[in-house]
Amino acid sequence: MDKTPKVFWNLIGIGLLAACFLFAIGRMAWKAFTDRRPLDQGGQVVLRFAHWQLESGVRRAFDLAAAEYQKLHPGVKIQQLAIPEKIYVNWLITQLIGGTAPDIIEMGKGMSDERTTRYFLPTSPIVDTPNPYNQGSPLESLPLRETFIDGMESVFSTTLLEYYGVPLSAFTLRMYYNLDLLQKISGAQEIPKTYGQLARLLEQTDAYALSHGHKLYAIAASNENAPALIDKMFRSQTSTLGEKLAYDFLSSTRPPAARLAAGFVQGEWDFNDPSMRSAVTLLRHLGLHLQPGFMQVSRDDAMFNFIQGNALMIPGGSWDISSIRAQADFRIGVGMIPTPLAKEDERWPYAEGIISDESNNAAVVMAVTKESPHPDIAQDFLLFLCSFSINQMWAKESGWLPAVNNAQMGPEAQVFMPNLEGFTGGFSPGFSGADTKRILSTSMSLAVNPGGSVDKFITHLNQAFPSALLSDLERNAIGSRINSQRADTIGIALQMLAASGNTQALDKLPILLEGSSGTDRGYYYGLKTIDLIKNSKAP
Amino acid sequence: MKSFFIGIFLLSTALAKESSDLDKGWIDASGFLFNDAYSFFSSKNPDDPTVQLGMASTLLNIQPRTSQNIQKAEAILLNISRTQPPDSTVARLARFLEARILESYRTPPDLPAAMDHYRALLEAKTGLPLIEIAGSRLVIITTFESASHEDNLQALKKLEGIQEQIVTPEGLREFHLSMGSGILENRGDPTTALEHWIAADRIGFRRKENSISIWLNIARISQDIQRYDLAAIYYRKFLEAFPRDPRVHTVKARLATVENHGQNP
Repeated sequence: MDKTPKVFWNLIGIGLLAACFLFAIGRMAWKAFTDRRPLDQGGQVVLRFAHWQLESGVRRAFDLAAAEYQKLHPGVKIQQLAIPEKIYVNWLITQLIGGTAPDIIEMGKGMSDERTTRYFLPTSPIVDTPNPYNQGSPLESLPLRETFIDGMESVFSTTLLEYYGVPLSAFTLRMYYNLDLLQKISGAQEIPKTYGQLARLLEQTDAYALSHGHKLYAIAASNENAPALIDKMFRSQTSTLGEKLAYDFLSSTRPPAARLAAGFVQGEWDFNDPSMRSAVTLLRHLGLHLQPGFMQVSRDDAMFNFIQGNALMIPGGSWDISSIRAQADFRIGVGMIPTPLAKEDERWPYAEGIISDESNNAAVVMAVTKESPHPDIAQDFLLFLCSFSINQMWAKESGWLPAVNNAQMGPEAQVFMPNLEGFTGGFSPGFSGADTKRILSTSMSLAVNPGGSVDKFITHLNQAFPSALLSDLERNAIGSRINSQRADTIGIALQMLAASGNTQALDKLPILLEGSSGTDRGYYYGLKTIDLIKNSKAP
Repeated sequence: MKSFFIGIFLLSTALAKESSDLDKGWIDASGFLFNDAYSFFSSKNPDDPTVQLGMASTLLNIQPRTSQNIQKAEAILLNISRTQPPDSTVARLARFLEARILESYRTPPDLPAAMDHYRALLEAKTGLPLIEIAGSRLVIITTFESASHEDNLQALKKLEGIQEQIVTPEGLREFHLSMGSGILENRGDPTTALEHWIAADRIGFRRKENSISIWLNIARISQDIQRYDLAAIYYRKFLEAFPRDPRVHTVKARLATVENHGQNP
């Protein structure tokens, strides 16, 4: 056979491959170039903003707010990009690195300090001046940061020493229920407020399911909502213990892990402590009425059970309301998570009272990207979104909580407002980090399965806890040391800038140093506790 | 001779320009962009001590973190200390970083040597807030130095005098915070610890979280030692300043308790 045609076809093939390769390179280069340019159309500025809140009410609320802004600013066209949560992080990183990020992005997922400082504009320059869109509102004369329920604490980066973004909402944990089913089971119009009363409803639900041959769960639960519920129950029993173990328990924003760990190693407490035993008893009682195998159940599957009428209740965030209302074909009720109380007929003697909503922090934080061709307009739109009247309207349309102070909510939304008339609560076993959380999660079946028991669970936790504490504290110590080392370079840089009169550095350096001793002390205390654990484990 | 002075003038002008040009590197470094800052300083005049400080300080945190980078940074810092006037800002900051390397970057750390550096820096009364944090660092290392609380308390007592060497509010506040906590960690006199914390509070905080922390800690320790009047003052301060904090209800209950004790001693 003549070989010439084969060589010819090979050359043709290689040529085609090379052409495809060059075409792909050229297309990417062209796309990168064109995407970096403003997407403005016909003299109109196009502003794009992205978030992962796919709930229909939220998207509608954003559209309405955008329409209001466009009325005021006819030269601006706003496009909303709702990105599915599952791909959000990958999408975000690709957009940021590729230089194709929208003007405004919701922060929270996939963020790091370096990514934040490299790709986002700080809000710091405007936090001390009033929001111009608040004119005529009760917040008119207040500096921007004082117009938010949390004073913008949630958007201040203690490592970057800057405010990033503005919050639009706040989240709370509540119990949703199937009102039609509740009436059939108990005749009540709402779920009980105390755990003792809830216990009776749980029994009624079991009896109803049995008598009607209905596979019905009292509470639909998943690996997402159950830990939050269990955490709340634990904390209801351990506040006195926490305060006894650590003088700074109340003053700390989170349980002082090393101090609690040191207490455990030194025998000041374990899971046999009466308050911990009470918490585990509460966990077992609750767990027996949660959807079986809940630690392996996804959020969507638990929600599906509730929406299908196969569960009476489901714990969920305030963010779930619009989705639940849109999907359920029964009446929805929303109540506070029933509280264990110390009253005689409630049987939880270590409860101090109702636990307040700890997360008095704002959420749905939107920030302007450095890539934005129109950063001033993007920032103006953000100020518009978080203004008193627009944030209130946004909250009403979305069914979510507003982030601004004094916003008037409809009666249906009142139940989601953060409850500050409660006690602070104690700590749950996952207080020190990933490994104590893992121990709690993997041994959960010992507490909540019918074959388990309070004693089995407590014995297991007491045995497994020191190793988990050790690895958590070692990880925390490494993190503290790295943070402290980073602060060295940042401190030198700020000190040098301050020496040359840089006003921003003069402002930031005192904030960097403020409380730095607390971080250092925490590091050394952690090391001391690590030694304690190692010595106690030594044969 | 004339040409010599012209030469000196041109050189100093060039160095001054170099320094102001270095702001970009410092801004990157202060904003977590350590690798960018290091590249920037690396492209500048390597004989400029400010450039050297920029390189050394960013080397400590550039990715990937390596022991070679730390050693290289340490060598640059030692060179700055040796070659620059001891009272120059760059030399002082270099010595501060040397101390930090001894304390936090070496494995195992050389704490006695780090403490010597910190003491020397405080004696120099630099007036630089970053350096005056050395007072707080001395206290913290001492707090956890020995297994014996008694020994640590004695050592802490000896450190009381260094507050005379601290002139910046930042340095003094962190010193008092650390001293108060150090005394309590070692089961020392709570009244002395409270005095330090109250001194820190008088200097004041800018961040809400830090005010809350010190006020609630003062109130709690005061309550523990039955100084109910003092506890009530600090609980009230918290309630007035932060009425929307989730801890308000708990603090109101604590306040009611101390007020009740105050009336019925």
